[in-house]
Amino acid sequence: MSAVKIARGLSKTELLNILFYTGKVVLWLGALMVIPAVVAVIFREWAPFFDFLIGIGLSLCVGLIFVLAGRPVERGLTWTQGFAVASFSWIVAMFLAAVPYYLSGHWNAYLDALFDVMSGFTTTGVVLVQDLDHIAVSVNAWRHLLTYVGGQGMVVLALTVLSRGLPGAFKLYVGEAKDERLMPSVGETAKAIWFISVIYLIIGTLVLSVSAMAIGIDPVRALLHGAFVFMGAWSTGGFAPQSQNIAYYHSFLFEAATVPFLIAGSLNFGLHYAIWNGRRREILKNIETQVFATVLTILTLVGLGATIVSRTYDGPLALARRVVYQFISAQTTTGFATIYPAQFANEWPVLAILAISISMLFGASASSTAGGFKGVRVGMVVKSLKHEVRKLMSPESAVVVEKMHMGEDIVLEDRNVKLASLIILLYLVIFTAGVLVGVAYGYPLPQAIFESASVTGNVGLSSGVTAPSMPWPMKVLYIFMMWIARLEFMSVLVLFGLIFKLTKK
Amino acid sequence: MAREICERAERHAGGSAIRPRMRARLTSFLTPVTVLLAISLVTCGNRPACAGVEQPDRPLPVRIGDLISKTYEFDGRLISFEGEVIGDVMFRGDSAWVNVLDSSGAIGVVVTRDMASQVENTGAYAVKGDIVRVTGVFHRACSVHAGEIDVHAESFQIVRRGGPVRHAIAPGRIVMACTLLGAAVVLAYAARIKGRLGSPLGGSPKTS
Repeated sequence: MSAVKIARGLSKTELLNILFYTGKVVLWLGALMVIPAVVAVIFREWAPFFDFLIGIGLSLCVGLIFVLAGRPVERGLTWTQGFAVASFSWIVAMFLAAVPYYLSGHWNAYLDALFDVMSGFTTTGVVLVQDLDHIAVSVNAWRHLLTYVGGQGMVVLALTVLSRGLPGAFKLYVGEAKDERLMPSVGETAKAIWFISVIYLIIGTLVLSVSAMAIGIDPVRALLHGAFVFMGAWSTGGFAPQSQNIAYYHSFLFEAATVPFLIAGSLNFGLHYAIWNGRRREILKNIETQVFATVLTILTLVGLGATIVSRTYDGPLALARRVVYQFISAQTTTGFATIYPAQFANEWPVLAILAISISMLFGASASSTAGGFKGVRVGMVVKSLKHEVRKLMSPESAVVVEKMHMGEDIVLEDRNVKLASLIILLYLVIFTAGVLVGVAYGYPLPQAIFESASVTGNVGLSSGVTAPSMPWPMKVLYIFMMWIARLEFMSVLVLFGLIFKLTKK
Repeated sequence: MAREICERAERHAGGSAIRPRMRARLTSFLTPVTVLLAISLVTCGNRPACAGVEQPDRPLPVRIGDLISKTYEFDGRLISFEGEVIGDVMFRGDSAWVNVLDSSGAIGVVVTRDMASQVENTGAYAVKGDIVRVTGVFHRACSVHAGEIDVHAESFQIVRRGGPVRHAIAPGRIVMACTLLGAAVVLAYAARIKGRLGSPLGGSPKTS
């Protein structure tokens, strides 16, 4: 057999293996759609109920066709295949999850529905939905469930069962931009992530529902608001059940109640697990929490200074609720807002816009539900800079070692710094592309920067650029940016590499 | 500040003294950066404060979207608009918050308990909310409500009662749902026969 034939054979095997496992992940999406269908039955929303049945049927058909057309190989998944399955699953899932959205009639076009699904999956939170205040409870449940699952990861959900007897499951897990191994096996790690998330779901829903009742919302609706807002907070997705987002509630109590959950969602699952196991000091020693606290403090002070000088808000409570809250929301990459998008654009001084844009780009922790550069990478680059300065200032014969703490003390290695810098550079490249395209379409530079930072960091705050009237190429670009940023580039690049390889033959 | 950083750098270097030239370079770099940051902070504000606006006798008819996008223009002015009450009427002490929506956006309106008690229907999926005419003072950043963008209602009239909304089910969708679910059952059976579904969704399938 010639080398070309072997290569062809290998590619086909690779492709069939990828197709098979993508099919398995898609089957999970179909199963997940049963939840909003049940909600539709509870609230007697029969039109959306049938829309969800269509979605379930279509997801199961596509998933099963992939499973039948594909063929798993005994050795499981290679790194390339694991990464390709993760990124390809997200794209297929986007097209299928958008079906009930589009059928609901609340999205102007299928592209808009795709945009909102990707925004939910990637826990971004920018939306193109129309008349959200009259949307069915079941469709709203689907929106929030997508962002909740997206926070933990679609693949992580599938891995809770799929990993049994699947060699190379860890590659699939890493493909979804997670590398924290809480347990010896990937399946157990996936279960631990879901266990932590479900415990928080129960506590969070309870706390926010009680808060909602305390501010005058009746119990049944308070429970819905509590569950939806919790899912938006914990997943750092930023979706809210009403069009005014968190500004709908007009309450300091409710806003304050969301803060612990959006911060919790932005922390590394490894850190949650350490705290769960009684290692509470880890929260102070961890490089990511240190970077998060430092960056948030500095940028919030800049934002506060700018808004005080420009007299945008009067009084400490107004500044806390309108400025500090927005910065916490930005830094945790949640996207909850207590002001309207137009207010960022028209009222905030440019310095505050730039500060919050940087905050959105920096983001929170790796292996969390958050986006952005991530604290560990920023920490690594800063430590590396410090290392270089220390080396310069030390005698030439001295051996200077730099360490950082993340669960344990880790010696800073050039290889890791290089990788962290490369990922940050890639984030900056897509951010710049977003800014340039925004400016090319005539949006003012500060707004283009703000929006691009929000999409790149999977945040969801908007300065008004993201709207159904936005040009379609920008919608497509933003979908791509959300997807590639959430999967932290490698999986998507591998998928493109594979497609290129297949089309070349 | 620059000097402090140099001193900290010295301490981190294990007490070894920084070469004077390097120290001078660090200081000369950090000092202008600090000064520039301070200047930019001070000069960034160029917007007028919310000044008291002379109240005209007649309220200004507006759309909610205009209030949100031109906050400085309408700040402190008596305005009037019509819209649907949505979501929840949230009673807080002697007053209540209602959110009112028109085709251009939604905004929070502060009303008295009596005004809020008039509302019978709030807009949601299965309900068309009461249509109200709100006349009140618009605040870009309300000093009473911690910087909220809001309207303090002086008058709040029900223009039209809302009520239940029926959503028809398209028969074509029922047929489509049944067809797709039927096809999924057939495909699942085929996958089971081919040994591709080790367990319903996971497990160990037959491998090549």
